[in-house]
Formats: sequence, C-alpha cells, structure tokens
Amino acid sequence: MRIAIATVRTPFVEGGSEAHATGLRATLQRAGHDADIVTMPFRFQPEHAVRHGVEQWLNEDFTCLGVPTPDRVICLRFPAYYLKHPEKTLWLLHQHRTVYDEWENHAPHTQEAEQLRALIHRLDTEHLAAIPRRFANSQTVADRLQRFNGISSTPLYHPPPLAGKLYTADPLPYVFAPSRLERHKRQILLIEAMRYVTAPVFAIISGSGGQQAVYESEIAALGLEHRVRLIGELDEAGLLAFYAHSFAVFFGPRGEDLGYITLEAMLARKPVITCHDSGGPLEFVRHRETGLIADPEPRAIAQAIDELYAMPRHGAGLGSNGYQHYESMDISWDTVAALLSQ
Amino acid sequence: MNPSGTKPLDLDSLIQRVRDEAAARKFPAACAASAPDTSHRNLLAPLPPDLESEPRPLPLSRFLAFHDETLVRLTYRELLGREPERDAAASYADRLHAGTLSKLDFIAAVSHSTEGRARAVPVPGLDAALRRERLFRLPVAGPLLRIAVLVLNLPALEANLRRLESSVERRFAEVHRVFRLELIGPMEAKADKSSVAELERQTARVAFNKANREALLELERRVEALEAARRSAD
Repeated sequence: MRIAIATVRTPFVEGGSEAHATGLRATLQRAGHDADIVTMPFRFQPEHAVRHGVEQWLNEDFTCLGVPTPDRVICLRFPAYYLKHPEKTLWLLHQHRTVYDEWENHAPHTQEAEQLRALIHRLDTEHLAAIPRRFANSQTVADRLQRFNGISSTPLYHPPPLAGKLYTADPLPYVFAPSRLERHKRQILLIEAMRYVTAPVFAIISGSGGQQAVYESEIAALGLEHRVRLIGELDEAGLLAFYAHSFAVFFGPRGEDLGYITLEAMLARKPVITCHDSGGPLEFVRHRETGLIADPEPRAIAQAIDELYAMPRHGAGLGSNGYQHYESMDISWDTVAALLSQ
Repeated sequence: MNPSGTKPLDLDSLIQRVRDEAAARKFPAACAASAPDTSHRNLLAPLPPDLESEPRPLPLSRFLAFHDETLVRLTYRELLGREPERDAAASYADRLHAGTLSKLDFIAAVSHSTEGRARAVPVPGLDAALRRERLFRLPVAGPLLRIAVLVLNLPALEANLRRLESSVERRFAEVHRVFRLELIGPMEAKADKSSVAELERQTARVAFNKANREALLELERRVEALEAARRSAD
C-alpha cells in the first residue's frame, strides 16, 4: 500500500513530533508499504500565519499529488488533517492547543484571535468527525479531543526513539532532565527546587531551546552554578549514558501530550518525578509505584528528590517497576503499523 | 551513590565521568541495531605467545599490527587489565573489520575512557598519532598533508604490502596442508555415513571463510565422491 504521512513542521526543530513521523515511516516501510512523509512548514503564531496554514491545508488535495497517488493518508498534526483524500486515518499528535486547553494562558485575546479560535473549533469538529479511523497519540490527547470537540478516538502508544538502546547503570547523585528548553517543559521547577533540596545531589538538564538564557540567568541569580548545569544537546550515546547513571529523571511539563521522556526513563529503570498537571506522563507514572507525582511547585519537587535520595533502594524499586510496567503495555511499532494500515 | 567513596564528586567531574562513558560506549551503541549476531564468535582471540615477553609499555605500532578481535582483546588487556565484555568486543570488532572505526580511534577511546585514564597505561606514539590525525582532518590543508605523507611513505607501504602478500600465501598454504593431511586423508580411508556427515560438518564450518574457498571446493568434491562410493556400496 502507498501511504502518505501528512504533518507539519517547524524548520530546523527536531522534537518528538519529528521522531514520531520518521518512526512511523520506517515502521510502515518495514511492513512492506511504500510510505513517505509529506509536510509543509507551519508557524504557530501570529494569528494570520496560523490562518494561512489552515487555508493551505484545506486546499491541499492528496488525490492530486501527482503520480503516484497515495492509497491512504495518515494525518498527524494540526492543520494537516484538513487535507482532502477519501482514505484518511487520524493518528492525532495534538490539535492547536493555543485555542483549546491553553486558551486562558494566552489572555487577553484580540478579536482576530477570538475569530481564529472559533474557526479552528468549527473546522476541527467538522473535519475530524469525518475521518472514520481515529487514533490519538495518548489518552491525554484523546480526552482533549472528546472534551472540546465531542469526538472519540482510540489511544495508540508507540515506543520512544531510544527504545531498545537504553540501559541502566549504577546511579550517580544527579537528577536528569532531558527535554527542549521551553517554558511549558518547566525545567524552571527543577532549577528552583534545587534551592530546597537537602540531599547532596545535582541537577543536570540537557537540551536547547528558547528558555536557555532565562534558565542560565536564573541559575546564576540563585547561586546554583555548583548544583545545576545546562549541558546543551546530547548525542544519542550521551543521552543513554546520562539516563543510565541518573538516580531519578525529572519530567514535569504542563499538559504534555505524551512525553517520550517518561517512557525512556522507565526503559532505563529510573524513577520519574512528574507533576499532577503534567498530562501524558500521568498515564504511566503511578505515585510511589513507578515514580513520584508532586505538585508543580519547587518545594514539592525538592521533597520528592530528597525522598528518593534518602531511600535509594526504594528509588531503584520504582525504576524497576516502571520498566516492568512499560513491558506489560506491549507498546510496539508493529502494532502501530498493523492498526494504521488496516 | 558515590562509588569513589572518599571524596564527594563535584558537578564538573560527575558530568565528565558520564560523558567519558558515553564516548567509550558510542561505537557499540551506534552499531548495536544493525550488528549481526556475533554470539558464536570466538571473542577470546588468541594472542601471540611471545607477546608476553615483550617490553612494556607496548608502543602504538605494536597495537596496530593486530586486527579485529585480536586488537580488541590486546587493547583491553594492556590498557584496562581485563578481558573485554562480549557485546562490546563484538561491536568494536565488527566496526574495525568493516573499516567504520579506525584502529587509532578505537585505541584512543579505550585509553581515554574513565577506566583507561584511571589505569593510565602509556601508549608511546599514541598522542603523536592523534595530533597527526587532527592535522589530517583540517579543512583543505589536511587532505594535502595526508597526500604528502602518503607519498613520502610509499616505499615503506610497498614493503608492507609485499610482507602482507607473503604472509597471506603462507597462511593459506598451511590451512590447505592441514585439510589435506589431517582431515581429508583419514576420511578417505573410512568412507561410510558417519565420515560423510563429519566431512559435511567440517565443510559448513569453513564455509564462512573466504580464504578457505579453495579448500571448501575440494571438500565438496570429496563429499560427492564419498557419497557416490557409499551409494554404490549400498
């Protein structure tokens, strides 16, 4: 079968969405399909750029891509799922959250923003309901679609990019926080928590992003240079090693859709510290079973770190439980390929 | 959580320690996904018996005289004082064999790993070779420099090539002699079902070795002859 994977991307940014699309393409190709990613650049702001992206995809007819024409199109991200094709499958990574659950975070709103919000709500409800086979990246994404648009979908998990390569090793005294340095990833919680951590541990934060300068100045302002370090982007071997030697992984984003970090930490047999409002990670982290769930404020995070440090065997047990929990979920790309190509 | 026990780790040395491990694991990790199953391989490749009596520390040129599994085992024993882990050894050996990892990079990775630095076994010539390699990797000037050095070394390279050719010929002749005298001869003297089966097993065992192709063809001819003899005897 010839399958097009339709998505959008921000040029030069490599995150979970990009790994998702390339992982799907590789899986479909392994399953014998002729699969390719069809994408266009997309800007999430300002409003007129979003509107332009919406109009582009509304006019995109995948039955006229030229030769060859795809037999099936798997749509991943807003607004790619507006495209025209008779055989669409939805595997929703996320909608345009600025006009949904994050709407209140961006107040006050202009009239243009209000109009755009109404347009996207209407188009999403109309176009997504018309797709017969609907899957979501996680239960969190499925719940959001149900809540805001009244449309059901089935959560379909997939392995994180480092699955099969992660290993574990003796823990060293640091909490590892790998992710893009963006506001909603909230590494700031960990940085500020280190003020209150009494255990002799460090915080190592990898990744790059728009908040790098903010975090650097915050670390300096708090005088935490000897305890917290931003180590930039890591290559694969570096990521594997920093996961393996951490004694806990912190991943406390706000309303994450899925979050590979949680799954990767579990595969490295490390306990995960996350927050009550972190979204996707809460589908996998069970408090004091596979990690710790804290309030999204620095003192609570510090308390969680101290608790894990004070009871290393307990922490190791949580990590081990996390690994077994992942294994029990039977998450595999083969399942994804079979379901999406049906 | 602090294996060094005596002195608490500072953040810089902790990060460096994990980075070192990442560097040491980089090559095996990178090829793990595509690496063939090497569990059958004899990873404890024999080292020349006279190596033990050679003066220490061994110079870089001595390491470079070995290949694949033998080089991996020698480097681990000399620089880390232990045998390599099976998976790591197999991955390194595969990449050395495929040419995607140079001997110099491999020896440097082991020498500069946390464990290697802790033992601090010197390898005379290694630092100079690494500096030379860095020069070769400079844009524009690097390739020109490499060509110049190659030209200057051509007589030595030619001599090495002749030695290599002679060595390969000698080894092949030895393999051929062993098969003829110690395997095929006794089999021919006893042409029954068990000897045919044994010869087939031996054939399969050497099938992977291109250097033994000629011996293999001869074995196959013998198998056919023995089977024909058995059929006529039945």
